Amino acid sequence: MTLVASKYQLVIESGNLSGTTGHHTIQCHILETRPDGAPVRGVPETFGIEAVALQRKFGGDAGKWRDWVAGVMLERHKQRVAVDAEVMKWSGKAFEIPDK
Amino acid sequence: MSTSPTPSPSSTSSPSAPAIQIAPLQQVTFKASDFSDDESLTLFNQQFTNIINQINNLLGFNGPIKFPNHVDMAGNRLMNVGAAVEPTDAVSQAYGNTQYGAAALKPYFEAMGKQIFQTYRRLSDRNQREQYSSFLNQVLNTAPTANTSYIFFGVPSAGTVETTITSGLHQRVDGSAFPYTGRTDTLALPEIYTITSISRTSGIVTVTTSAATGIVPGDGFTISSVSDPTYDGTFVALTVAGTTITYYQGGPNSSSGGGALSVNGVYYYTISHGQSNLGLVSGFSADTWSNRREASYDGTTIIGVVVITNNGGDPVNSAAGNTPPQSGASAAIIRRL
Repeated sequence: MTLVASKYQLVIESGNLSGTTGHHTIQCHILETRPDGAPVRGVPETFGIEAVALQRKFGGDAGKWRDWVAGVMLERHKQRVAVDAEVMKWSGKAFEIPDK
Repeated sequence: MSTSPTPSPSSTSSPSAPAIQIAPLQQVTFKASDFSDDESLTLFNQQFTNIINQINNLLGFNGPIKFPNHVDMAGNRLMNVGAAVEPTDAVSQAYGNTQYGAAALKPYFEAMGKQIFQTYRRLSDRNQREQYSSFLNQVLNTAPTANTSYIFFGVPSAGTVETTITSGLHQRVDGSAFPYTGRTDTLALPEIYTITSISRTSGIVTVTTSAATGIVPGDGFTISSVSDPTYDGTFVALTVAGTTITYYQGGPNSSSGGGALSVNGVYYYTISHGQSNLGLVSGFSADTWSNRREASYDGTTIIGVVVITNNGGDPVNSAAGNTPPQSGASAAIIRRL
């Protein structure tokens, strides 16, 4: 039996550059494709970076910044999915409250 | 004695019918000889005819009645008034209600009516509603806006720091809540300048740096790691002359050395009307009321304030809606948004 994992993509919905401050901004979300082919659209978020910061941290390579964004978004997406799966189990159940 | 036939009443109040003048009757005194023979009765008959005509005129049998003076009804009604035809006609209550009553005027007051009041502004119309918020200055009970976001910072690295404002809800002045997405920005840490001398006299500190900072009066900055730690903190420049800056700070007169001055980086996260993505307004070096006003122009509201120092994010002076109110020497009295 072979376990097949979900596949993930970083989808850039839009990107822009502030003409005043030079601040780069992208709106993006994670697109997860489950083993059965079902797509799961992650929560969209906005990421930005200053030109100076892009140079300092990523050597001016926008692709490296995008990869970093993808890593952060993937981590947040997996955490949300895990929490959502746990919360969904609670539906219709009653939980004991410890009497302190 | 003979009588004239009684005329039939005029059937209408047509304005085209000739108006009969009512002339004053003349007092005539008859004598016994005026009734002695037919010829002598002429004067009496003439007078009697005048009276009959005047009465018929007043009864309206000869056309519209024209009064030579005002009509005083002494509190009594005019009854069975017909429909008005001419602009000078009197109108009945029913006619007035039909033409000028609330039901008749309602279409003119309807916001969506076809014949809208020319001076009436439709609040739901994008082109007619108020475009500016200055009129709210006169509204005493306008509720402050609020939001549910937190701000937190990553660990500084390579002269940068990650700043994240969580997604949340913006509560508008009418109490409705609008969701927006979270945002993460990689921001450059501000420049740092070595302090060559620092002294305090009568509550005014004079600091000199090794190079010009670019600070102008009103800009914010941070003093850190001075030999006398009472100098450390975040301040706003009072005067700037070359590499020398003055600012207010209470404390005993003294002088010290060492330490560094860093220019603050202040950023405002904003939400614009109709948008769900936060904007980032930068270019400020101090969180002041005038900078907040500049960042929250009409149609845009500040969601969070971020202050960056050369040490990274400043959690004391950064805030969003869910940041608990704080106070302290280096924290603004009101920080919660």
